[in-house]
Amino acid sequence: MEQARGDPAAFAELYRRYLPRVYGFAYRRTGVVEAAEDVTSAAFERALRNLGAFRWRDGGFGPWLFRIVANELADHYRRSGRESSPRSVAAADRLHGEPPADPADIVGDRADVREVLAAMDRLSPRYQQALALRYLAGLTPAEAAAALGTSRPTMAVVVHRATRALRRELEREGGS
Amino acid sequence: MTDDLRGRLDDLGRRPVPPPDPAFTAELETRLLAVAASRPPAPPEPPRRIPVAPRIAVGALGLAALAVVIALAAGMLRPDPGPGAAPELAGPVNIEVSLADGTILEDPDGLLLPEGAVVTVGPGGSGRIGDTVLEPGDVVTIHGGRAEVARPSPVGVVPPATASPTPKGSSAPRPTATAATGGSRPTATSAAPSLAPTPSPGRTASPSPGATARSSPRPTPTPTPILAPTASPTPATVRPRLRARLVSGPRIAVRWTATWGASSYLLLATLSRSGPAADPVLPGARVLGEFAAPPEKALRFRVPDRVVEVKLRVLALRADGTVLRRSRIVTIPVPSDTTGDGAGDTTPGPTTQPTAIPTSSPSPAP
Repeated sequence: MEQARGDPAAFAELYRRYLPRVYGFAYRRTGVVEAAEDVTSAAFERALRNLGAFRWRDGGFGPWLFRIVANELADHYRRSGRESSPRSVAAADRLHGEPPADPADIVGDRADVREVLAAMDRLSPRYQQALALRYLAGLTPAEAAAALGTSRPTMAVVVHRATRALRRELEREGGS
Repeated sequence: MTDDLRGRLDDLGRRPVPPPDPAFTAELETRLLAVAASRPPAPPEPPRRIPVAPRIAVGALGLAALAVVIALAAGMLRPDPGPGAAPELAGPVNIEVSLADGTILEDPDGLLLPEGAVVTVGPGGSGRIGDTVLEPGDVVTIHGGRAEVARPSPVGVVPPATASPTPKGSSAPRPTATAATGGSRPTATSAAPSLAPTPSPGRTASPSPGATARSSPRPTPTPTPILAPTASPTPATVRPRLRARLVSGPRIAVRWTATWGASSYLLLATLSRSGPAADPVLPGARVLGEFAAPPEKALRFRVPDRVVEVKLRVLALRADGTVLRRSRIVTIPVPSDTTGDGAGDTTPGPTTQPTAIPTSSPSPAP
């Protein structure tokens, strides 16, 4: 890790080690190859730029990196919402509700996954990050807590509340 | 219910995901390494900290970059694109291009003109195909990979070393227009004929300066950014950012941003007269054109009657014709009573970027 600060080869080693998990995390969250690639690119670039600020604490490099990815994912959805002009809201909504672009974009059971992911989109960024880090990033609870920058008990509370909010969103969606 | 939801989330987290595209991973690694190498070195003697293998790699990449620069310079000095190269339309103003399948493109800057394409220069129009300066009234047919110009007046100023006004029967059959960029690549002529073939009565003439050569730089296939180490990171998003909107006619105006390392671009489209259009993928989608570079100004094409939805996508291609990156799919609903500009604008975000798009988001670092 220390080597990676000044040695591109060492950073490449970190990149190769974490790329599948980072990409998988982004893909599970977005369900779209293009978005996952964008988020992965941006996250690694940001990690590289901020490598000097990394301090070995709170679980090490993995949680630190996944926190960056979670931030990038939140930015991704924030941008998506902000960039939608009033005229294109309807089109964007329809696009969002449509099947992903390619068969490879489908994570699994399309309706099931889309329903949950779409409901997650409507949660607050912190709840989104908590659920994504806890369930989609493949992290242990301790790592997820470190990635969110909280203690494990706090993480458990946030995840509980986020899950409750997600359930409400799903019920609202189902009832509407 | 909560337990059930947690189960669903757990299940979602355990589902397998397809591995990332190897091309994407390799490209990203190259870019990151280049950025890492170009960062201000922490130690005073960075060469000592770089192991031998990366040093060799950096040297090799540098030599490769130098070779590419020399090759590009040689290419720029050569007046003719050479046999097999598709003629490129540059700086079109009030120019309409009819493709062999009936597709009509308006002012498609940078379009690699496929075989059978007919270029018509409208009143006050101008443009350039290779060294041929187009004038109002010119009608150019692409035949055998060459531009054959028919001029309304024989007294017109015809630059030297261009195709003669009369059809050249002597021009030997050449490879297809896109042969230079990959023989197996789909070309515009491979598109299924279904777009509106009728010429437009009212062509929009954008007031731009004369027919100068297009100044937009081709997306230079720079092999590595190491040659230009800057403090700012290399643009991370190499995907072409496609923007399209419905304008009066109804027509669709399209433009996109350059992709780092792309040699050319394919513009794909699918149309639907009932319900959602299919996703534009190859094979299957209509190829509206192949472009050497993103158009400097939006190119337009007419939407056929009764079409209710159009989907567009741009593929950035490598020099060997393989797909480098794909843009996102832009879906444009076409209202049945489309008359005004801006209807169905599905182009979120600010104006286009001139070159590759940096994806560094403004989110705070942890």
